[in-house]
Amino acid sequence: MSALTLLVVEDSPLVRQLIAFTLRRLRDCRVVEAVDGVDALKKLASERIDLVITDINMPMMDGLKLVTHIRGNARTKDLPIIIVTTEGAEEDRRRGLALGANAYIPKPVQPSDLLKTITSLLDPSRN
Amino acid sequence: MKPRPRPPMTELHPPGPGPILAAMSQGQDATRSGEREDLSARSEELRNMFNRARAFTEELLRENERLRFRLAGLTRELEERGEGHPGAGDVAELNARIRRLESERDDLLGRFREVEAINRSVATRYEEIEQQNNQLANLYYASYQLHTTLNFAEVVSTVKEILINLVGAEAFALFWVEEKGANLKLEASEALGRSVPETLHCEAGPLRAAAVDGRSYYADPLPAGGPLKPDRPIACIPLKVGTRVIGVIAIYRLLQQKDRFQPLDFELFTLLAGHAATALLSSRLYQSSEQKLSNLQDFINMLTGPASS
Repeated sequence: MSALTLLVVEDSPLVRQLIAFTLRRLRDCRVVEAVDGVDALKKLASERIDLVITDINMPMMDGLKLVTHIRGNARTKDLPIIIVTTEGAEEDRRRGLALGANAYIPKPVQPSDLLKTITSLLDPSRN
Repeated sequence: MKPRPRPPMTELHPPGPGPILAAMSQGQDATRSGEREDLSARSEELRNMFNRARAFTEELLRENERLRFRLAGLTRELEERGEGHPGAGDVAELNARIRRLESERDDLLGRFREVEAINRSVATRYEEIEQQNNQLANLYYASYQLHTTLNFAEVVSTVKEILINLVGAEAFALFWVEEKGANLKLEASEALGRSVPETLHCEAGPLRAAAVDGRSYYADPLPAGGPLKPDRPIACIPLKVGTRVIGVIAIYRLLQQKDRFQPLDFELFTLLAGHAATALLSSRLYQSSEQKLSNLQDFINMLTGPASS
């Protein structure tokens, strides 16, 4: 993987920093942070993003609405999306995936799980 | 070996007419002339046949001689090379080579197993270090967030974030220990609604042990789900500044995807016990002093304001 830009959408600064810290272990990877769905859409409009990691429960616009927006936009409809959330129920997972998320990881997130998921989405040949 | 000398070959000649034939021919010349001609033809035929047989035999003898020379040459060649019994030597050498190769193979297999074991050990160690790295990162960022502000509400919010996102607690309360006795004042809570009162008096149990004696408590195994009881948390973490307990974190339920506490959780509890306590107390004191300062300033302004105007 080279020159990747990953967007982390999370209202908690603590979790945002921890996810960003985890992602920086990937080589040639740049992390862009957004505090909610609205902020994320702005970042998506202004930057070339390769993958989105989003929480669900956020102010202004939640993660599920963000996924719907991304899938509804011709420019971003194929963007890989990972939902990282405290909502761990099976129906929540199904709903997130049905809206178009590629992966659903319940919190507390294990960094190794997150990195494996990102690698498999960005480079399926490694699986 | 020398070739044997070839015996001389005898030339066959047609036999001459004997006395009996001469007598018969005198009396019967006229009648037997045809028979003589016939015999003569047969005799000629026999002679030709014998000549061809002689030529063939000579050919065979020459070929035999050539092969005997060739055999003698090859035998001499082998003797000169010292390979009088080539089969036995070859087998012995091949057996030795097989033994050598088998030994090398066993050696390589042994080394391969050693490398494999080292590889497994390194992989395990790598995972452990990775795990420690993650734990340190979590602790660092949690600690950093706790001390990044002097706003009491923000510190409380950070404590809640740590409990929800890093520990995986779903329902919990943050109590402030009142000066006297074991009275706990509810400072913040998550997913508890009205099930925990604003003030909780603890006569016994893990909450009292945490608030009065500063002892942590973790239920192991976790109790099965049921109605939430304020005095029956699954974990109690005393928040201590030095030896003084200033508050207690009580966890009542974990997120449904989490079935038990992990080693990292205990590290986070230790961090919360020290760092969260300091951050909460200092931010509270700062807020209080700010409030007092503001009141004092207002009072001074009030006293000095009319005189200066």
